[in-house]
Amino acid sequence: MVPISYYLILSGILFACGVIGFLIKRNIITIFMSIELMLNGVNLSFVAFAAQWHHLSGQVFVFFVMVVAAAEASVGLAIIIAVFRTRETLNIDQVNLLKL
Amino acid sequence: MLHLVLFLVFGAICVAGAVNLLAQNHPISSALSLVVVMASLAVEYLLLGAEFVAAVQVIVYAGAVMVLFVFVIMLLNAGAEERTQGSRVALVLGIPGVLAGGLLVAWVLVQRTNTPEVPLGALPGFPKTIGALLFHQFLLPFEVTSILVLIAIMGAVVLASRPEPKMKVPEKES
Amino acid sequence: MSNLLFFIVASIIKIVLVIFILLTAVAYTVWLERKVVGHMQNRWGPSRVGPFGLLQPAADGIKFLMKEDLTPPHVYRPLFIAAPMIAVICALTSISVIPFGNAITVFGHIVPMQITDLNIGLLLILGVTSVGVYGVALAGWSSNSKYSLLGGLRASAQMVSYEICLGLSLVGVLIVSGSFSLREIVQSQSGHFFGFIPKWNIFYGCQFIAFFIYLMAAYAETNRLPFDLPEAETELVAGYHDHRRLRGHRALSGRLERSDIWSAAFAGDSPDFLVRRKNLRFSFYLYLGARHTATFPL
Repeated sequence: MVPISYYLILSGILFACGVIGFLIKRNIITIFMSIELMLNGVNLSFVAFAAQWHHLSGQVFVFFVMVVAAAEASVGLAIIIAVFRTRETLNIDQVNLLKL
Repeated sequence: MLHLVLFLVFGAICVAGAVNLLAQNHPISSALSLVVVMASLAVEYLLLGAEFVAAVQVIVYAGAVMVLFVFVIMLLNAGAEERTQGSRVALVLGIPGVLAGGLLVAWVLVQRTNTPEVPLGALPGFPKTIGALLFHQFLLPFEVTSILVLIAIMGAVVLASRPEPKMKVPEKES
Repeated sequence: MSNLLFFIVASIIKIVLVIFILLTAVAYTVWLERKVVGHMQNRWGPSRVGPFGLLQPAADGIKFLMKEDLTPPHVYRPLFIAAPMIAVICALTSISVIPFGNAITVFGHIVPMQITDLNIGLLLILGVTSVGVYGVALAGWSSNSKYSLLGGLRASAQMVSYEICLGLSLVGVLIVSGSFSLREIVQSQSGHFFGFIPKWNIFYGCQFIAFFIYLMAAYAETNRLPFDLPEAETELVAGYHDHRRLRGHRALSGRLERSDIWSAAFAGDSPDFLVRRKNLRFSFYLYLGARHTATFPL
């Protein structure tokens, strides 16, 4: 028997790691991965709440989050490739102009 | 007992992977530690009984999304990250913000420690039941996500494809 | 307590047996392929070691083990070592859910002839194989060479894209049997249509189309002949296993899992299907797999 709050704490830790990575990393791809980490933390809390309230909707929502994450990853990585093609860098500090 | 031990072991792997993601300099190391996080999260889902979610987590996240990441890293031949001083906004607003948010979450969790305890495999999410739910109660969101994915595919193709060199229009001979 | 102990001991015995039999079978399938292809091309194939070259796989294994463990200086060491491990572990994990017989009773305990029966067995196989892509991609990248990188990119792109065909072609099987568990899938194929046609999924409706798609996707996944672009020996010098000591290691691991799944999914039979499946797998491997190698002069 494990209290649900343990799972919530784990998901909180993952989410916090994602936020910190988003803030301190300088590589666009790593920043993007931090976003995925945050989404994963949220997914864990969805599943934990589904177990708490005995309702499967929580688990179904995880699928929607995954679909959004997959769509986001494909578009985001395409943007990264486009940025790399024009600026030839992945460092977020050097991508500081709105125009190409 | 078994549940608690498994939870702690895989939770520790999970957190270690997440911290390693932050600590590593090279994007490929970060990506692989994220794969570790996702795989151990799949085990956590299994412990909660969500077996279908766990399988899809491994197939979609670890098997497709992260492969895409690794692929892009390999394609762009991304080297180790250069250290810069970082943005000032992140220092001034971000880190206190994270700390405040973390404190808030911790406070809420401490206040609500009487959450119910769940046994191993608390809520079995069989593929059949999940599918029934997905195609009855959540039919509209399901269809909307398909459109979303379609748009994402088209967007990715448009963005990533090389801009075509302008075709020279052959001038008409007069 | 004794139940738990028995379970653990039985599981360990099963795991050791399955891995041993599987690896031997793979070694001898390779021998068979070399032999048959040799005869098709008017040569003998392996014939020196043992009678009919039967000890050739053992000799190859010893040769691989005795080779110098060479790591080129410019590689990214941790991943260079880890990549083949990922590939092999993923290939071997997926056999853990494949049933190979009916349950037997030993000392009053029921022992199912399967390492573990999961509700999501088929999904587990798909997931584990999709993780196996990392082995290829990282093997190419960590060698730190342009040829390896290109080969790894090609191979992983091909594997990721054919994974979709692979997964979708299994949907028909799932609909017919109504379960992800491989044991139930196999059991749903026991019996006969009209008393003589075995009730395999391949004979059910238009499943043979799905079977064909699955087969082609499996060839592509394992980079077998018509789809061996990633290993292009002329331009990429065998792609991602360039710079690699145990190249046979990887080459072996990919192809063994596929044949097992298709036979469980499409042609499983209930009680004595072990023998039949082996036959089928062999004959199949022979008549399609080997024919390819022999007749496509690529």
